[in-house]
Amino acid sequence: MTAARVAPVESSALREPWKDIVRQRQAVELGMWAFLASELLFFSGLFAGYTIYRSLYPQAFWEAGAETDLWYGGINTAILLVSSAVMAVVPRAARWPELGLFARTMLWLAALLGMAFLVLKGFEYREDFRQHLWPGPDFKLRIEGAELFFAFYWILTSIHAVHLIIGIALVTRLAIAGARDPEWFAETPAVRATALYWGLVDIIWTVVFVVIYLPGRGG
Amino acid sequence: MSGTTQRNDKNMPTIGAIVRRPAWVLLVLLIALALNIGAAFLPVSPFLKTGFHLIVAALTVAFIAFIFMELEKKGPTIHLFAGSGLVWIAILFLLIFSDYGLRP
Repeated sequence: MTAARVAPVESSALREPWKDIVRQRQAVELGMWAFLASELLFFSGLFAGYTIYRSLYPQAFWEAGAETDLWYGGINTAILLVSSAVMAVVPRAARWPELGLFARTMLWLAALLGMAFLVLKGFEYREDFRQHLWPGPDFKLRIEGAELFFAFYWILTSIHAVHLIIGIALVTRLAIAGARDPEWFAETPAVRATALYWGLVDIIWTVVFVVIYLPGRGG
Repeated sequence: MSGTTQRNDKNMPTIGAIVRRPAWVLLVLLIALALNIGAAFLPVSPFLKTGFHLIVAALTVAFIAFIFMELEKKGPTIHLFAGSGLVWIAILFLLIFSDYGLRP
C-alpha cells in the first residue's frame, strides 16, 4: 500500500504545471543546463570556424592577435571572474529570507560589474575603429587572413556582449522583483537559473579571451 | 510565513561561510589569469603557448562550472545534461578536423 501523498504547501513562486516547488526547481535547473549546453554548441560553431581559419592563416592570426588591446581584455576578464564569484554567492544566500537583502545586494553588484565590462568594451571598440581594425577597404593590416581574425573578433565579442546585456537585464529584474516580494525571492527557481546563465556568460568569455587576446604576444 | 519558506535558523550559514569558498576560488582564478597573460609573453613556440592557454582556460571553465555553478553538488541527470554539451562539441570538432586534417 502506498503512503498518502501529502498536499504540497502553497508557494508564491509555484507555477503551472508543477505541483510543488521542489519539483519546479529541479525541472527549471535541468532545463537550464540543457539550454546552456545548446548555447555552448552555438558558440562552438564560431570557435570551430576560428580554428579552421587559424590553421589556414597561422601567421596572419598571430599578427592580428597582437593588435587587440590586452589591457582591456585582461581587465574585463578579471571583472567577469569577480562578477561570477559574486553571482555564485546569490543562490547560496537567497534561500534564507534573513539573507535576502544580502543576496539582492550581490545581484546589484554583479549587474554593476557587468555594466563596467560593457563600458570598457565600448572604449575598446572606439579605439579599434580609430585604428581601422574593422574589416574593409581601410583595414590596418595587409597580411592575408588578418581580416578574418578581426571578423571573428567582432562577431564573438559582440554576440558575447548581447548575452551579457541579457544577463544584466535578468539580474536587475530579479533584484527588483525580489525586493518587492522577499518570500517569492526565497523560493523562486529564477535565482538559480539566472546564476547559471551568468556562469555561462563568463565561461564563453574565458575562451574568447584566450583565442582573441593572447595570440601574437612576445614576438 | 508559508511552510516552504520556513527554515531552521540553526542551519542558516553566516555570510562569511557563504562567501569564503567562492572568494578562494576567485583568488585562484585571478592568479591563473595572470599566469596565462604572463605566459603569452614567454619566448616559446606559439604552439606550446596556445596549448598552455587552452589548458588554463579549461581549468578556469571547470572551476566556474563545478564551484560557482555548483555542478559538483548535482546528481547524475544534471551531469548528463551538462556533459551532453561537451559531447556534441567533441563530435563537431572531430568531424570538422577529421576532414581538414586528412586533406592532402
